[in-house]
Amino acid sequence: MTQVEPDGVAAEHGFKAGDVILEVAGRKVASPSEIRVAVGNAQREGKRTVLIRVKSGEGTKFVALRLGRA
Amino acid sequence: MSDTPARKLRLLSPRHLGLLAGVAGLGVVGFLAVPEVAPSFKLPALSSSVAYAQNAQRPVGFADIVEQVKPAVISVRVKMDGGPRLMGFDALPTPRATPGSPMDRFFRRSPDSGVPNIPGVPDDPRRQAPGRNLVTGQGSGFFISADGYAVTNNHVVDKAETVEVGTDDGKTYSAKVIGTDPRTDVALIKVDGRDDFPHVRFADKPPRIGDWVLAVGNPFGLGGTVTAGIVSARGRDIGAGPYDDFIQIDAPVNRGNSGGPTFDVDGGVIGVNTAIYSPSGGSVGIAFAIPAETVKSVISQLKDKGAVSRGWIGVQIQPVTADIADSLGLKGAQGALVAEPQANGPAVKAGIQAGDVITAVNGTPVRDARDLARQIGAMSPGTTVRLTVLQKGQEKTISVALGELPNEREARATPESREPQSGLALPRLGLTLAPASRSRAAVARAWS
Repeated sequence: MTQVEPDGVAAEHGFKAGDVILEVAGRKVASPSEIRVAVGNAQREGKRTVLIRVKSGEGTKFVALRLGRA
Repeated sequence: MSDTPARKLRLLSPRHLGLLAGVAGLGVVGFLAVPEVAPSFKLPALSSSVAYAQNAQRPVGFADIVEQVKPAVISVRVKMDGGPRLMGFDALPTPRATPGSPMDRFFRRSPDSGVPNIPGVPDDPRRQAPGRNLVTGQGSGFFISADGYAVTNNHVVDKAETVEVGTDDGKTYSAKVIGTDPRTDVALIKVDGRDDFPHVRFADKPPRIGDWVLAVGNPFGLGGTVTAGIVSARGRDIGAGPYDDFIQIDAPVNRGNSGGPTFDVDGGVIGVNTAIYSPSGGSVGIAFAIPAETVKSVISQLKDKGAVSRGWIGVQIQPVTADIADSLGLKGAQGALVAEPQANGPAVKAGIQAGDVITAVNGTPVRDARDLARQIGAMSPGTTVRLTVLQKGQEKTISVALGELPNEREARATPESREPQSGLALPRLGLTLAPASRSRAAVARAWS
């Protein structure tokens, strides 16, 4: 993550620039496009939340993001 | 300044009177209710108010219990090295006070800070010989055996160079520290030389919310102070440690009460007074005691081997919030989510992965992340446990041979540092809490 929108859902959950997203919904992700696909899939499946595994300076943790409705 | 103590003590007395009035009020209510259900013409013998008064239930005092238990309660005085004298007024050890924080300001007791300067109480330990800055501190404790074992808080004695015990009959003894457990803030000390110390026992069963309790201790150096209240809540997590499970009581507890006992009305110890929440520095009727079951198991280990060993599975866990439960397809926000298993830890070896939710230990449901830490920590290293685990949507039972929680390292079978979304009541209120000991530290402060 290079930038976190200050008013976005991610900032609300404590994401910081420099954090690395490791997994989305239980699947490893290696690039920003894979993240977009994974989140898009969850959205299409009608999920309200998607579990994201994040690595930050303090270690690794899981954060459940509520999916905004497009 | 000379009238400060008197003013402070007066401030405390209305609280006390208020309690008595409350008790008396119960009697009055009973008295007033009688005429409604029993009209006087049916019960002529009760028609005079004198007869009513004789039949009304009187408030019950606690003097009989106090007489039994108070001799076993001690004051614990410690001397510790406060560091080089250069530090001057800041030399009081205040490990949890961040510079500039309200807590820090609180510790820099200015003459008008409202902290009573009670005559006869060595309040300013910094007036000492040059060179080393010896700091004194005071707490409370209680004998649990005739041969002089006594319980107090870890934070009362952990930095002590010498420990002195003052008994209810005015005698002073030197004591040695047998063992301390920082994680629960329990310490076991021992006074040698007598085998007839008055002592108390732990209550057989946990108290219920609403039960009467008595706190006995040494607030502000006022030894043998008895206060009464009720159990206000149980199972409080105040952010003091990984195994927080405090009993909240509303008996007035102040600095110096730390390590002192809370009794039930049978004279059994139900808890060890450890912290208070206070916006003012004095008691506002919110005190926290370590439950007797915890204290019992900790002191038996301290007595046997001077330290406490805890089971350890080697996972970093985080709370299962409603959103996380939803994202995993769980029905309720229960269990503990494995954020990261530690390399080569017992959990990894047994096949536990990041993202697993541990829902039960030996069939006992895991309420939340702290509950898992408590359950595992209460078991001995070497024990094999059956964990019910939700792994990639499938429920499994995984057997894990417990390792030993490393003593100096951060607890890692314990919840990860507090999450903003963890929903724990007290931290969300923006308060911090600290031990209620006389010198080092104190008292909880709140800010928004």
